[in-house]
Amino acid sequence: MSLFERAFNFIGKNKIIVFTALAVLTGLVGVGLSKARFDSDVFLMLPQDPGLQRDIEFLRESNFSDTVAVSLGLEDAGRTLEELVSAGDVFQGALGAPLVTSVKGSLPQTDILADLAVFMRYLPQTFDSSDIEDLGSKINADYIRQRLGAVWRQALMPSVSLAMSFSRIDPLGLSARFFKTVQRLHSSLGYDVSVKENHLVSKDDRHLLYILQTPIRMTDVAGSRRLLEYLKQKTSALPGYVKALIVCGHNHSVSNEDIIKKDIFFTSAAVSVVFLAVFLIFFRDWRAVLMFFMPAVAVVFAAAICAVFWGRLSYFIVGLGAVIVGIADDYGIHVYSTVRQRGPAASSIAPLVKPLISAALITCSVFASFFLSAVKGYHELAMFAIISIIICLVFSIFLLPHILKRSDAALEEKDAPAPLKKPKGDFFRVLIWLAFMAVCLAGIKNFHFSGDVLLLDGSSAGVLADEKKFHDIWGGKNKPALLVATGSSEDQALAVNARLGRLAAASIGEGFIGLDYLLPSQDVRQQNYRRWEEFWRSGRADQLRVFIKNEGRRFGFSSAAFMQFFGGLYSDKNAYEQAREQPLFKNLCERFIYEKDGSWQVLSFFPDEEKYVGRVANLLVGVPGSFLVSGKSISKKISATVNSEIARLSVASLVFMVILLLICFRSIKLAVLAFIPVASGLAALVGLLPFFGVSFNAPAVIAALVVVGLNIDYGIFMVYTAKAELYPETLRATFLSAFTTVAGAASLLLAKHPVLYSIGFTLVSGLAFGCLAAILIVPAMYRLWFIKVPKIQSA
Amino acid sequence: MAQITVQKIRLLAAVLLLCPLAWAADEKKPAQAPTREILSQIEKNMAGITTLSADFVQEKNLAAFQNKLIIKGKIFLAQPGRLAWHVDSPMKYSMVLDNAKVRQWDADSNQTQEMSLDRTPAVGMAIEQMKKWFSGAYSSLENDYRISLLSEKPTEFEFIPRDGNSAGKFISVVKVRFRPDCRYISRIFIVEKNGDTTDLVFNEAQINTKIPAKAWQCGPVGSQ
Repeated sequence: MSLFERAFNFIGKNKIIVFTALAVLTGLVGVGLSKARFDSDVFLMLPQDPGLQRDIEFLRESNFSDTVAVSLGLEDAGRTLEELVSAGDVFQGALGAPLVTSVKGSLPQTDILADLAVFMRYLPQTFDSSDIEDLGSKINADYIRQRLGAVWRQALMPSVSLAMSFSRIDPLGLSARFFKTVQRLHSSLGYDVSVKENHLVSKDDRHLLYILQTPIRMTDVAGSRRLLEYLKQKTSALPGYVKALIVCGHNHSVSNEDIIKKDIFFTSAAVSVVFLAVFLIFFRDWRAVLMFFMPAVAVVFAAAICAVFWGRLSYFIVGLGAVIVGIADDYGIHVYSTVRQRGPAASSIAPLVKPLISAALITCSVFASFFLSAVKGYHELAMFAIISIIICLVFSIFLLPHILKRSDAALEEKDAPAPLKKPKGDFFRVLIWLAFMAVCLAGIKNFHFSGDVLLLDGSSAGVLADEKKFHDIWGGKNKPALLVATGSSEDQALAVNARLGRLAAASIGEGFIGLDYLLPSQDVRQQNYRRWEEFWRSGRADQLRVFIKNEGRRFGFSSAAFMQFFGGLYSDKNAYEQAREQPLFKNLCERFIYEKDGSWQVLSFFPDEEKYVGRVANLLVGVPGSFLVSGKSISKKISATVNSEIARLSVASLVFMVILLLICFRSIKLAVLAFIPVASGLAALVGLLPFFGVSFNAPAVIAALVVVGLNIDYGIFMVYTAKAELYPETLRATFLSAFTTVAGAASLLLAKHPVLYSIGFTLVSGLAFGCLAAILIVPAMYRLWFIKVPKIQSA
Repeated sequence: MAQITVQKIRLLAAVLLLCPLAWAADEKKPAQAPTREILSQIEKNMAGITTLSADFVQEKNLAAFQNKLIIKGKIFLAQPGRLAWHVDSPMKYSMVLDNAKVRQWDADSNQTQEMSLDRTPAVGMAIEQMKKWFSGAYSSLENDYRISLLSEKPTEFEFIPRDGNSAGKFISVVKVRFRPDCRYISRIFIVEKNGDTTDLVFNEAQINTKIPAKAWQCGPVGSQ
């Protein structure tokens, strides 16, 4: 008696104990699984390339991902900006810790003239040698006359003397570059904002913008849910004529999770109904439902093991549970069909064991090749699928037969293996198949990989519509690329930033915005100030005083008109610290300078265009630690990484398959036959995905590999069937198992989330055509190739 | 040195004594009932104004200048958001405001300059202030200013910025006087924190009459 038969009979004798223990264990695992931590992080499904990972982590950990933009808009045409500001102030006042740590919406109530005086004292530290040279060319009577004329004309305006007071502090307009840079830095995120009533106001004066800082990371879905609920509660207290738009990454996290949860519910329900109906109708036996429950239990066990191993479970992986059930039920179907015909004895099952294990091994080997991938999500999927398949295979072989019994209608004449009869039209069948392959492969030029991360975002239409409205009001849709200068101290990071910033500004021009001019490193600041002091003390200050006195007389300026400018010419030691304390400057530094784990990062911005990204990337060669982050280059990096990933995984699975096929059949010709469904499935993908406009993205790559793994299964079964080494009912079982696998995958077509949908579409098109090829083409090709080889026919 | 210290202490004491008074005075109390009624009436009158053209005399007493500056010219307003300011004396100068864009011309340079109010905050804030006084929407200013009625005939109000109002950083008080028919302003008098004053008087104001297209031109034509 073989080992298999001994184990099989042992379970048969103790089946009450075994099944009771299994039922209890399943219950416990189910309860444990309900307490597992789930996440819906789509980046799990992207490659873990170090550069790509760093860019994504940077975007997540910088303040960009943890800010919430709230736009308040007037709904009633009769209401004024002042009324909106009043409502906005109440809203802002109602926000607070722990969910909102700061709100930027109204500007600090600063004394604009006092601020200017502070900045003027700091200005010398930003003046480099070219600025000083430029300044030298301005100390002459003509230029001073021209400047004072402009100042005088300000008095003609219909307004208070604020502009003139400004000019009295800075008659030469030395702060122009400084404030222009500040202005550009403030608008660096691309929002089209103007300041009115001391608030951030849209161009049409109908909306206010508030930028909220929150400690909640967008990847923390539970926290995001709490935050959004809190904000909804606060915005619901706004007057009826004010409407709020909340735009943030947290909306995407929550919306994605909601959609995935719904998708999982609907796909699981659809699969359950379809499978149960098919099994009951097809077999007309209540025990047929076991073929569904067995893989379902295996999937629950596998999910629990994965949750313990990974510390959490991804919704995207659990979402593929229906597909895994569809794959794993194949073994149960084959066992069930056999037992119904031949009874539950070990001897009836034994002939099935080899092809079942071969098929399971090949499927597992395809999933195992995912471990070579750089995508962490693939590793989790591989583990989940392999465990499910192995558990289900064990259940199918050792447990299922003990619950089943032989059908009364089983026919005695089917006991003997019989080769397939030769139907007419094999040649035409193969001809049509070749034509189909040619048509599909002709579409290869339209087939390309899409690395666009946005296509993986399944946020609801409401979230996307709100974002569109927000960008219509405020702009900011085209995000700039970022240059990140790093250092072990703030000063070191500023020094690197200044060096890179100068080079980048020279290469890119006006499009480059950075702190390099406003905030040089300490050494450079001291150097600048020394140069400034030398300049004025060399007699230029007296010269300027004379020019202003003489030229000012013609415009009627008083002798004390520009006293404040001369009084602040030589700054005090604390000018830098005082400037950094100014709310305007402080705000800029908070936005552009970050400290993380003792490392400092200073950000600069430039247009996210290929030519600029290339130029800045070249500047970074030889500057360790500093890097650039570009939304467009993230997509390219994903494409490049996934393309190399596809090549690596394809080669690995091909090698696995070839080895296993040769071990199974010991014949190249038979191995080629078994490969026909694989080729058909892949050809269908190449032809159908572009035809239906479905993108072949990173998650679809794994689906394609699953297609390969399953189609090779069908190929093996059909070659065994064709060789008549299996019972004829195997053909019927192969039909059914193929049908359930396609149905499991088809359930994902009901999914609204693009990741699950693209996986579903890839699986359905690849598997449907793979199965058809297995059922129709493999036997036909077998007959055409082997009909004159009696040795194989009689094997 | 000792004298400065004593002065500082006196100043500090005075500030500490006055603080509670100032705080009490700055509570956001609504304007008195008659004040509010008159304000609403004026607001209604001015809401019906679509265009206005008037001669003006602006007298500026600025610390930067040795003498008082007297500016004469013509102003044109059209709702929403258009303002033309043409100066005849002491020199030809024009400023035309169309939403957030300002164009300026002067006879001296004979050049037209265009600037965005967003990019020139000091000019922007100053012009926003004037637009506010020209608009007539005074009820909405209650949150930012303490408003008192100085006289009923002629009707004149005083606006003092409340704490927290950014205008309070450079404006001490604004007085607005209205025409006898209360249909528009006849005089705006502004006292700034630094002691500078601006006294703007409108004469021969014409309401809702057609404004010639050349009034919106910024240059020698517009200023004629």
